[in-house]
Amino acid sequence: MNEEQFRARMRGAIGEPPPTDLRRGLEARLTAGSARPRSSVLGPLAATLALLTIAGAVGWRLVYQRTSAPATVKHSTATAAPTVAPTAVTVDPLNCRLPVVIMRESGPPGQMTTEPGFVDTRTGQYAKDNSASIAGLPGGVFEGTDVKPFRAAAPVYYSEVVKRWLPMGRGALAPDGQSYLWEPLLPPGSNITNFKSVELHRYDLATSSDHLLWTYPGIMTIDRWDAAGIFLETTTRTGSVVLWLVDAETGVATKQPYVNMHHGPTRLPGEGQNGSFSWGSFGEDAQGRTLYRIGSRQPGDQEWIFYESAPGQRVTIYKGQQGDATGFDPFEAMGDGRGIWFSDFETRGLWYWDPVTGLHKVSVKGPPAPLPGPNSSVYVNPAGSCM
Amino acid sequence: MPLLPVGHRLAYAMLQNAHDAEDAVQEAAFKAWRAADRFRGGSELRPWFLTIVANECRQRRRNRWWSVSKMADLPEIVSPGPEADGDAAELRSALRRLPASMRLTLVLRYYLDLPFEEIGRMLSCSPQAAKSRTHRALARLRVEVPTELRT
Repeated sequence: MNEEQFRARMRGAIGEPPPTDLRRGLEARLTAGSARPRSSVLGPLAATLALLTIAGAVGWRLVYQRTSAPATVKHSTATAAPTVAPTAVTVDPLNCRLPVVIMRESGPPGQMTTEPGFVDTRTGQYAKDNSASIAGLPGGVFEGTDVKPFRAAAPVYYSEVVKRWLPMGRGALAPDGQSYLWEPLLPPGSNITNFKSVELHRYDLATSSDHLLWTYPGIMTIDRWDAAGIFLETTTRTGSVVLWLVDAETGVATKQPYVNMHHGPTRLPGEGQNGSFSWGSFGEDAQGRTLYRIGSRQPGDQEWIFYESAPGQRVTIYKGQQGDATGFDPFEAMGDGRGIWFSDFETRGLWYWDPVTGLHKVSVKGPPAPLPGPNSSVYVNPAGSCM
Repeated sequence: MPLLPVGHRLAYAMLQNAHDAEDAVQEAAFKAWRAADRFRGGSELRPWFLTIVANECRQRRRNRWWSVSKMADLPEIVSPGPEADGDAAELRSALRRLPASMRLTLVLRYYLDLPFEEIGRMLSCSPQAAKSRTHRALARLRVEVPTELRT
């Protein structure tokens, strides 16, 4: 068999992909996410994350890691300090008011809506927050993008500190919760495809004043903001990543040693010996520790959800089989200083876990109806600390 | 983006699943879109984008968690031709058993018809090394399907 004959064999064996409108699909992903059930939750959140990354908000970035695992850079003290002040420990997590953002999507054609509200964790009753507003606040998860149709900034995180919804995620918040970061692209009106530089701004919620901290001629991604300052990474045109520490008051930026933290969980003896070690990360607790999931969503597959208190020291949140009686199928996670809240892939519900009381399910009542159209899904995503 | 079709073909060949391939190429395009300022360099564009697609395919196979849903899947769409051909099915199955790096090499060379220079750029090696890798992959494939590839 000569090369051309083999080529013909290859083409015959593989066939050709069925016709599809990739351009439209991509546009749908950028506007409202992927249309299929298998990725329905990934598309918009992936898009959101990317846009958040671009815009400097990282509230939903953790979800993105599950599908694309972008290289991340974290400073060496990433697990040392919470990014926000922990909630008072007197609040009963199963009898409090949890901020949530209901995400609904369907498609094709791709549609996605979000709605801020609260869930009474004792009764599970959801109530839309009709007074939710981000009026007057700069920034937003789609800031600077060329997403079409235009998607305005929306509430994505409820700050217990300032008692209001914010257009940026928790990762953009100051340690004291009194200000947040946002990143307009320049020149004004440009988007990610044609911008020349990015500005890093700190918006002070107490004084309603905005402060320009730094300007960079390329992509800027906020990693975290803690007592040491703002850690962010920049990407040059050649693709090299540089980690910076930016003073939140003066804007002075200093280069930091590169540390790639996205290496996954520490493998225990025996794991991955057959070449198979499937894991994902889908959130962090309030201390910045990555939440891992080993396993698959195939019914019956073993799954293990945990974080590492130290390399190789796994703190188990759940260990069982996918689809077992527990029914725990976490989607998005948010630590609130006491424990970790999870949304659920399948049940439109919430889960709470802490190391003392373990795992609890909160069945959510009264979420908005699914959007019309195929592959319609509703997710109740935690969006702040339970109060 | 004119590279979407070739990226789609690469993803389809690597994943052998229409939906996964579409997802992968869209995700890759999305990542490329995010890094729009790196979309410069003329002739380097195609291997750069295909590398992103290949990485995305690799990631999807590695992190099965995220590519498997227990929700009702849409029916698989496959080209009718290959399904009807036993030899083709055998070769397809053999390709699936190959290590991903070898499968990628063969797909790039014999499915996408890329020159060794471009394959080398994707694999971060010289054209000669790319050619050598291709031959090694072919040799491995011959072990998998000796009758199919007997000359």
